[in-house]
Amino acid sequence: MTLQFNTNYARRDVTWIPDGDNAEGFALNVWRGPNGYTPDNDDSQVFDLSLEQLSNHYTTGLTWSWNPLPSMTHRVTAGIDFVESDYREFRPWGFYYDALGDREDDEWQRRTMTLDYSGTWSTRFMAGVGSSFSVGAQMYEEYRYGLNGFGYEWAGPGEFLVDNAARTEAFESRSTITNGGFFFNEVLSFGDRVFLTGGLRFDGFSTFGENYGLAAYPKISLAYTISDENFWPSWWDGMKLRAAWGESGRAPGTFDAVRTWEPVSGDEGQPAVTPDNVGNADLGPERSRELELGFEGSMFGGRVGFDVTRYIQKTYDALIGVEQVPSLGFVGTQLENVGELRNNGWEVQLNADVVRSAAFGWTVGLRYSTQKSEAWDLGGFEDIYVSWRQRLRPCTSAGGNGDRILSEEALRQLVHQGRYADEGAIDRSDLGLLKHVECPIPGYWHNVIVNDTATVDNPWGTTAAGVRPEMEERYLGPTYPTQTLGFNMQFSVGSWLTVDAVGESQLGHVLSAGPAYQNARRQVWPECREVQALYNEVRAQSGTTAARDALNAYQLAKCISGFTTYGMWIDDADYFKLRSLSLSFRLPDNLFPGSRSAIFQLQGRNLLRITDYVGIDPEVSEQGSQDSLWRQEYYNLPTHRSFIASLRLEF
Amino acid sequence: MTRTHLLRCSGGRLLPGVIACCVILAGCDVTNPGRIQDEDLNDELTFRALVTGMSSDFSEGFMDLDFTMARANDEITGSGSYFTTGLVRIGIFERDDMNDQWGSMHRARWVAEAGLERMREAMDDATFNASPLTARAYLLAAFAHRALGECMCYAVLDGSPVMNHEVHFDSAIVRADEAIRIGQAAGESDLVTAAYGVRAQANMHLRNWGAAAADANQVATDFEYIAFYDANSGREENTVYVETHQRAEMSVYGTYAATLNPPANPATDLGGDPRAPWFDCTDAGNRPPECNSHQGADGLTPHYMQRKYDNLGADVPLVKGTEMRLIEAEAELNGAANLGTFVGFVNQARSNYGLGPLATPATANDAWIMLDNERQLTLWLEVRRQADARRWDEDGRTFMPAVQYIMGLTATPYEKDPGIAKRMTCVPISFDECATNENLASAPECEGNY
Repeated sequence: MTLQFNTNYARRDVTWIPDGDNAEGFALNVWRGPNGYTPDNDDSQVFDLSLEQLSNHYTTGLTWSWNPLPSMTHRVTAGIDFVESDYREFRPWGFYYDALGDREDDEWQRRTMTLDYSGTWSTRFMAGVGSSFSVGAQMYEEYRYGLNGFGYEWAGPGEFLVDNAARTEAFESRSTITNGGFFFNEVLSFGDRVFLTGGLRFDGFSTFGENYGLAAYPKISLAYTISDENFWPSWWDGMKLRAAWGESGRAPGTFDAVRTWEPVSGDEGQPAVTPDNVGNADLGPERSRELELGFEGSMFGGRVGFDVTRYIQKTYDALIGVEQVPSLGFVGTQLENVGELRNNGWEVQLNADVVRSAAFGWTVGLRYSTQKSEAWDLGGFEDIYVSWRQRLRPCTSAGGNGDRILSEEALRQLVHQGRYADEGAIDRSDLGLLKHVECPIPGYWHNVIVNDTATVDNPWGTTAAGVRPEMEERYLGPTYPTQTLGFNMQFSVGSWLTVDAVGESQLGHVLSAGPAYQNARRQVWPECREVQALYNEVRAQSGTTAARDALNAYQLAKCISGFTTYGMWIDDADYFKLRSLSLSFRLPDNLFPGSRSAIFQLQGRNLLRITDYVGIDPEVSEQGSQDSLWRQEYYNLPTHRSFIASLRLEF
Repeated sequence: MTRTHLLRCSGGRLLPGVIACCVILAGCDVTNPGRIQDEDLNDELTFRALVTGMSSDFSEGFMDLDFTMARANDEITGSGSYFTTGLVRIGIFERDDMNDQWGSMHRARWVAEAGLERMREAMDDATFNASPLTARAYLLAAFAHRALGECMCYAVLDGSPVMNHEVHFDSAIVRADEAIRIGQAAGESDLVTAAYGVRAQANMHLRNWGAAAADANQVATDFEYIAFYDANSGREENTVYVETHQRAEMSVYGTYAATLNPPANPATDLGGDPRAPWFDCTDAGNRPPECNSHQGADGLTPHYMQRKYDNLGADVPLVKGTEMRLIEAEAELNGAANLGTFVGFVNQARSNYGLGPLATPATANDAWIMLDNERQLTLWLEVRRQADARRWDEDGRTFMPAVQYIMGLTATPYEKDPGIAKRMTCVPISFDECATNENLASAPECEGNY
């Protein structure tokens, strides 16, 4: 019997720089120049706003293991994960964007408790056939608490707390989600080289709808260490084949299943209610079914290693926020189990010791993955709006006889690609056409110009109609990367010098360049200066014919406020970044008395970026690290370049 | 409180597992605070909060419309970052930018009407027919219908097919009738007067001039009934104040109101007319302390700051006696057309603001232009002008300044899109309504983006 206890504590104290979609943002005001918000273009005033955050993170776990027999184990694990954060935002009296100042204080806690039991009994039925049978149960509880205080308007200069303000406001939130489940699992082994696993798990969730019971998730997998067979060549060190199929689930949120109203205020501070959530008594978990095939191995005494995986995942009863009919009163979305989403991809890793000697070493690692997501069917919906012109539009719909047919979006894309003259000419039952269609989760659709070569003849003129941009909504690309390519490389000279490099590319996606669009509208985006100068001449009726002739509808659509759209600034966001380059020197062993080794390292992070993206940085987005389906760049500080010197001593 | 249950042991499915699980997890039901369950609102004691919620939802929806329509109606210029501003400036409402405006006012209408059904089921007839709460609910439903009729291109009720927008005016009249009947029984005289006012407004749009004048006559010139706003919480704030005083998203620069009453001294003068006050914030050395910015958030438009709503809790009038005099004036022009009688009504309204009388116009056209100017200034930033432009345009009065300015038929600093004949004066059926309402699946009114 053993008892294990572990605990951990981390504390972070962060001072943030004002960022993002924010009139007080540092990047926004610097990049907008004289057309920003700071008085007299003095952007240093942004730093009068202070943003501080203190967070504490505790984790504690206790594991009790008991083996009453050599073939039997019992294990009970209990754990607590507790995070608390105190975020403070303070605008002083006289602040440029809020003359009387204010303060916000957000306290936030999340406590997660888990309790697991599992028991396993292992035996051998006959020579070469083994069995390991497990049963278990789990409980999980997540408690969240938030308290937000706001104070507005100070009496004068100084440092203040929320309650010093003339007006105060507070918000409190608390929620608890519990989950309980149990499982059965059996692993059969044959000759210690073939392993067959089958299992079944049942989950209950406090957030399921009233009419929903338990969710059952089966799984089965097979692993075969083929390199243990006698016929396997000796230079091929190891090779394992694997296949797995299983189901998993994702539960809805706290209030999603219940029809609720939100307590608010009205009539100058009197208690009131407003519609909150339509509710869905049948709401259950989102279910994902995944098939994974792959192999992994190594060769030549471990000089070459590889791992290849192919996965195909289908998500049924996907939990998607579905827009309600606004004229029926409940605006916004209701989480519903709708449709089918698909994901598939490849993951390939290759590692090689190109040179391995005492004097010099060179190792290379490459990894490449593809991720293709598809909204296959949205349960009858042709469009689910996510945000910022990012949507889910399905590849297929249900036909009259229940068969799958091409969706409206698939028809539109095929016409826009020029494959068909009009949608009526397409055979909707020909699903083979889907190889030309994209319906990612999610993608960008926006208005872009479709007559981009036309010359303009003063579109505002009274005597000539002029050629103006004709804008149409088009599919522009997936929100998230569809390919990832990474490498790491290490050179070593003896044991005294090591050079490490790590790089990564994200490919096959687009991003909305908010700063480019907004700055173009404000006539402070370099790409548009020339066009805007010409346009201003034409508008002032002082432009020459040459000036007019030099403008075309595309330039208007790209650079002129009133014509341009975000769609014109949604751009390919492919990039390569050198994430890290480091030099490590092993110092003489006797340099630091008593030390076993001393290593001095110089590291540069984000030293190189290669991209044609029109915005500032294709990697950043407004959501930061938040869990969100949509992405948009909007005056976010780009990934910063940093240099680190470190000394590591071992005693 | 919202009650949810981890497991329901009577489920019957997967019986052995359920039994085992229930044994293990007994007592794990969860109660979460922060929401009210629908059935709990059937208690009569909650009806005051229910009706206050109707008012709160109306105020929020009305403010969504105010912020949008004011920029579209040439009452104020969009001078900021919001991506609707560029399109609204040139006279286009794209349906997928109008989800909030459409949705929030339809919610206000639905909350009032569904709330009345809930109240009718819970109350006995006598109580229902004499309750100040039911009278107010009817009045709020009438205001919601009036706002929808004035702002939306088409009517859609509770997931219905498309109907003419005038359905909303008919509905407003029916709700106002009930508000008057029950309000009189409840002794709510201000509420009854407001109901006459909203009925006059609806009759005006239906060109029922006799009924409009008769209802307007029930409202004293100094009467005012408001939509409430307050600094108490974000959803209660007056957004036009926020967008002009805390941000610089809207400017009076280049609007018809600016031409009607330019201030003599930007630093001290509110402008020549107390009904549409504004400051010139562009002169850094000579601007009032209230000015937060010298230019719009677009970095280009001079910031002329409206002063009609000068605090977060500035209320927005829904019925004013001064407008009632102007309705009587318009009824006169559409009836006997006695210009002396007409200007008498106009001057009654003006005197309420301390303004001197205007001379009798020489011609009927002059009278119509006078009426337009007076409505422009009297109803400034009250979400009313687009319906004036629409009504007068339909009646062929294209010489009216409202029609000229709002529809972009005259030169202003922000012309309409050259590809459209007129600026839009109404909000199209929203993208969300078109996408989710099965009755609109093939409606031509949902084709295109506006």
